[in-house]
Amino acid sequence: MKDFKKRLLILCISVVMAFGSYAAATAMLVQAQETEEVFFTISLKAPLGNMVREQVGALLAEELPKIGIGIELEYHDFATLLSQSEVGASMGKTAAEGGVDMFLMGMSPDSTDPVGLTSWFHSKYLRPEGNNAWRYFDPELDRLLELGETLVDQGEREEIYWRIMEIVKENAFVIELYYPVQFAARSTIMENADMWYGPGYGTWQIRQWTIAGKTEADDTTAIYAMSTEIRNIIETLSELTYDRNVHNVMFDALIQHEWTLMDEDYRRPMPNLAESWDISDDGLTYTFHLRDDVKWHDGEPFDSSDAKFTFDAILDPETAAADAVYWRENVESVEAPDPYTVVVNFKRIFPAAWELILRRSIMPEHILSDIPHSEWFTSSYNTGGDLLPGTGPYRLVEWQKDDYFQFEAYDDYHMGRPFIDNFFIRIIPDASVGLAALEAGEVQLLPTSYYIPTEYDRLMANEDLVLQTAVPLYAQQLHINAEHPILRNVWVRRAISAAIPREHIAQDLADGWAEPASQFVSPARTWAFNPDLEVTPYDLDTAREYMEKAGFDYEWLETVEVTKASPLVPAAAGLVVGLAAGAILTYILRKPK
Amino acid sequence: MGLRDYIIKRIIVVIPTIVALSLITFTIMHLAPGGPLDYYLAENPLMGRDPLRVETLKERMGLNKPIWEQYLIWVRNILSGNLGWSFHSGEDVTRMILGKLNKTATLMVISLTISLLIAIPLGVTSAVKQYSKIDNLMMFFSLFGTSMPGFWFALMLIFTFAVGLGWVPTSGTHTLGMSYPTVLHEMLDRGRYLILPVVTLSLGRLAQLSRLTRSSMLDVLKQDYITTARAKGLSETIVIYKHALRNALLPVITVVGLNIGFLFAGSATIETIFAWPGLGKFMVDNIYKRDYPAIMGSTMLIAVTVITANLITDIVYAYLDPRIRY
Repeated sequence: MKDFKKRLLILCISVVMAFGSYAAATAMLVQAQETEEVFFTISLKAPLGNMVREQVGALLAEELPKIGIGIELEYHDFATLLSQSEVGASMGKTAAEGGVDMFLMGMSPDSTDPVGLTSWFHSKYLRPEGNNAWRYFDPELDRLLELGETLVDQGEREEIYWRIMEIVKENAFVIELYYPVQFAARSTIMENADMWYGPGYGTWQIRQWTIAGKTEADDTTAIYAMSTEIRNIIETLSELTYDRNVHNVMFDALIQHEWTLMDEDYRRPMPNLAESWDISDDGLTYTFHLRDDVKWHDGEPFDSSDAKFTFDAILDPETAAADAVYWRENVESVEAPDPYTVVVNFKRIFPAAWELILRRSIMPEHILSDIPHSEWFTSSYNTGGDLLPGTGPYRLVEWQKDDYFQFEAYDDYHMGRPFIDNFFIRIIPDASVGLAALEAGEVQLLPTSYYIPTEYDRLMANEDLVLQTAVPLYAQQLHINAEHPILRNVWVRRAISAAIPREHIAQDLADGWAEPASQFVSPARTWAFNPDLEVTPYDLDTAREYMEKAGFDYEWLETVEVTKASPLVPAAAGLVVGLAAGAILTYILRKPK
Repeated sequence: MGLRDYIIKRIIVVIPTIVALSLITFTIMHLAPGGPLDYYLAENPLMGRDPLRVETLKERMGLNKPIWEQYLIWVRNILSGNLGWSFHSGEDVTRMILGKLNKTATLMVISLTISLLIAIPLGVTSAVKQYSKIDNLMMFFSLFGTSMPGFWFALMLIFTFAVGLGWVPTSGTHTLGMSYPTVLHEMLDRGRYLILPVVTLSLGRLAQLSRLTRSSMLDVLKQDYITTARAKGLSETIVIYKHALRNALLPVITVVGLNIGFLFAGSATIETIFAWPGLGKFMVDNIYKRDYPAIMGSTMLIAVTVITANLITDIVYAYLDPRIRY
């Protein structure tokens, strides 16, 4: 028994010593930590899932204290961060109140026509009703945005939107960081398959694909990899980029899907289901003359009732259709006076009509008319229970959720049967495995979502592969709550912008796979990109000047400890608990059996 | 108490357990910041431009009601066999789960079987020949197996055997677009796709199970009845396999039974890597997307599976060992 007690006593002493040494170690750590001199501390939140962006967060947490701004860095998943930014935008709450102070994210308008920018920068479009995440209100900006939507002359609009980009940059409530550059890859046997444009193809392009060494008579197959399952197959319900991979092969619109991004032809769309059209003099009535040789995949003939059916569904709020807001705000009604004519009546002149309104694919009336609009989302045609027929060059033959899509070339396609007989879309979630599948010959086409910059050199050396660098479509940005008591001062924001080493981010953090950004939008995304704006240079002296203009005096810095929670408290608590545990155990052992 | 009373008592406890589980899961799910529409918004910022649409979707998902009311609606639905529809894709949750259950189950059953088929003889040999070369080799190997990260090993296997040597496919469940003349052809094709995922999954489990078998055997071999059996003149093979192994397997089976729940969750990484459309990845994705009905459906499925597995394990144990029935 004495032996047993002795052992237990030793155990107690060890426990106490363990806690004690922990306390001592943390105490020493606290001493060793540098105390930084900052005027104030703000919170910076970054979403998880993008390594370069996460490193940018850490970089900013190091750089900004050099000009006197302390940073508390936090990482969150997307849904969490977005809900917080919503609170910050709609209710004007700072991070301490459950909203945001600053956060990192990549945002971009979704169309070549910058009319979409209104929902980003206009003062009445605060999150969640719009995209304005910053609560920056500027009557001049509002005026210009409204004007840009109504003008028709390209030259005038360009001036307005370039000025808008300038104002946004000057006021630095959303600070551009870099444009990420990605690459897409394909097998050399796939020919005429340009991959730089995401989603990568449309009904026009996919018919041009050929396989080296094979003729029409051979049975050819092409396999495309996608990293996630689509949301909706009924095109009316969805506008997501990756959903388009499926929509763009099985459905057609009045005009071709492809949108050459910086080509002047964007204003002259290519005909598809509509072989020609007339626009009235006042610009409000579009009359489309439809082809009479189009058939649905199940043999039913296509006519104007399908188009009217689809467009009426978009206009009905019960459908909750994608981009319905553009239709509701601009389209008065749709008529089908005869089987091969569709008339779209506009309420007002909307310059982005082709891109945001008339590019929706047409759905089969004979299949969907029995289903109420509100039930389209859950109907078996949308979820894969039944296969939806389209008019496109490929017919959906099989859909295994989260596994693959199987398409067959449609012989009666109105623009000619495509070359490739069988088209598959395989869902491969992991990027490395996608590359492995490409190298093993199991897929022939990899979109930009699979790019792994460190693999670039190795893949370039592989003669069986062709790599294409994709023009960046968006920028990663630093978003600021412009109503934050300190950040509302424009000079503070400008100081932050001047303290960001963009070249270093692009060259070192992104390993060359990025370009320093000069403004909110990327040059490839929209012609609203202002070519006269330059990348803000990294200059700590200028940044400090701006801080002084904001009213901060570097001679009067107060010392703030960067670590908020002092480790001395848990260390002391640990010590006390250890001692108490030791005492209790020793007491228990003294009790006679 | 008798066996029958014990069984009844255990079954009665199941119901409040499941109810409590559903309540806790539902609450935690809603407590997590962000909702299904936040994720949708992240994918498509343009949706922010259309508050009417967002409101319609919210209404349809029932998100405007107070949480307790949403829970009661869910309970009412599940009692009539309806798990709801996925916020993300509109598909019926039951159908989604059933579609994936088959794939995960295939993977799990095959890898577990292989693990056991290899682990048990390995563990027995190690125990019988304790401290021999085989034993040391196995100890080293099991240490390797437990410490190695599954996804790294999976990628190594893919790049070596699929890309480098071309012996097996990299990922997926079967060759696309193939028509199978017979069932045998189909099984052979699917079998090829099973090789790498099963190897990866089996390896981790193998290490754990063989060590467990070994230590359990070592304990049993020290028992008196083993010495008695040997004294009776029975051959060593009968002593080991008929008398010792039977008793040694009890803990192993318990562990396997208890781990069945983890089989679903733990497979998420492997399923992601091998593009295997199973339940593990399904569940992880749903949580990320805040797809409430799908989360509830899959969590309840796992809960029921784990509880059933535990129940069966307990009953089998009580049957075999009367001391356990209390």
